[in-house]
Amino acid sequence: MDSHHSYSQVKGVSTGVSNLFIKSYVSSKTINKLIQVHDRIFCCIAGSLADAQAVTKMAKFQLSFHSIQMESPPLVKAAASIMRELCYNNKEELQAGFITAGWDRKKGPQIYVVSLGGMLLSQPFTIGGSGSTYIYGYVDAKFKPDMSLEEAIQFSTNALALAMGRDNVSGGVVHLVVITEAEVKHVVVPGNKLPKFHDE
Amino acid sequence: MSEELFPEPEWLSEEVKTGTTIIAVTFDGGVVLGSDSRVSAGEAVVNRVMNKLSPLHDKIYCALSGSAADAQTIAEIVNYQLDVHRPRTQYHRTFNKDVILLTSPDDNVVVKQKKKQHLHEIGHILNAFEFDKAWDRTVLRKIKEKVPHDLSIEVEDDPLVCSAATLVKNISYKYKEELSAHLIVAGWDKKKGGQVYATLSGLLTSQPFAIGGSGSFYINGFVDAEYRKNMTKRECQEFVVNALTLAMGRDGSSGGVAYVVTIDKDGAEEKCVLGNELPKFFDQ
Repeated sequence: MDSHHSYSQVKGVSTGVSNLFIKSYVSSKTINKLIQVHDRIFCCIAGSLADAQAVTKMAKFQLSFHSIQMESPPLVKAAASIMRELCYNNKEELQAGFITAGWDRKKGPQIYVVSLGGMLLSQPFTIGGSGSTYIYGYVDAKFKPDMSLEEAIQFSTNALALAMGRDNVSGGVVHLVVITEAEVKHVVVPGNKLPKFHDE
Repeated sequence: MSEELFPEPEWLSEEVKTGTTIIAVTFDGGVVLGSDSRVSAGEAVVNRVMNKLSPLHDKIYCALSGSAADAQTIAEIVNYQLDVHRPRTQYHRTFNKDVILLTSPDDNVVVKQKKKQHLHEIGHILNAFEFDKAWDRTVLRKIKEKVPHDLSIEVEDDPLVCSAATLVKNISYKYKEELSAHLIVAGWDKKKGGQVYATLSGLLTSQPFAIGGSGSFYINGFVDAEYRKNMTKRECQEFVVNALTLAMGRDGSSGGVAYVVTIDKDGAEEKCVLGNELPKFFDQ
């Protein structure tokens, strides 16, 4: 879709990290869990961060090679496929899940979920990670197809803020990446600027 | 040989749990309680239309979750104990009732002052009470020995929601190792209006709204975002039905129909919202 009104992808993650070996220790409050694997394709990571970083590094390499061979920017589906191969073939050792999203010339904005065991699924919106269980109800109620950019950003920020309010291992700042045909924009929302709800 | 040919289904030996979604919300003038209706034993659904909202008194209800047997028993026991508040026609002439409950001093408990003083001194009046599951006869005998036989106590007013919640909490806390049930107690009383108390594992806390059960995890975000203070009765009922629908849509152990009870100063009103009447949300 090349019109102005294609709804762009807004991907957000909250960035508290707790090191599994040291119980409930927050080792970093500001890491960015949105990794760029190509110009218009990003991956959100969840689960063991070491595994996730290793997989995305590998995928980035394979994807750049693929796009040189094809002599055109890769499809989002191709990127998701590469992640899925890596997750499925190494499913015993790895423990990371991904959301791959981006824009390509063929189908416009797309979102693919690559889950723990290696499932690949395309969805209009998706949530993941430990904090996601708390916001299933909220996103089911509030999501509308064909939202505008501002609405989508507001929706993501609200959902993340609610999840961070309930999940003890999510927190810190909110990273958002807006991907459109024209550009990629990275927005950071610090904790004190997050929306507040009734009990705060 | 017959066991090999027809193995017993697993669910016959699984504990029956009400994996569930329960919610109670205060509004301006009362409370609304809601629950789903699914009871599961392992993977099988053993009852798809169970009403998990149990009356404790005319204007106090509790919502059950966790192990079905434990939750129902606690609710029945507290219902029995609150019978001492049945208005006007019940007199307890001697302490042959196993439990004694008095609410706070400024409620209308008709006891002669001297007798009341005596009871306080011998230590048998508590705001809540000690309930002994094993019916310890020695304790009862000691109480009967010390208390004069002509004493009668008549409790005129309806119980406070706080008293009912305290009764539930006492049982949950005392037997917390053996029981696994979480009850939310909600109702209306003259003193403080509509109130909701959560009594998870023996804690007691008053909240503007409370959610519980396995399905409640999925709607934490939704209720945090959508709850407003001082909603009208209608808005509150819609809020409860929406929350239940969303939870039933995501949780495998919640489902069926939605039961909604609205309690205000005029009494309690029960309603059942069938599956096809529930609101629809975005679903692929």
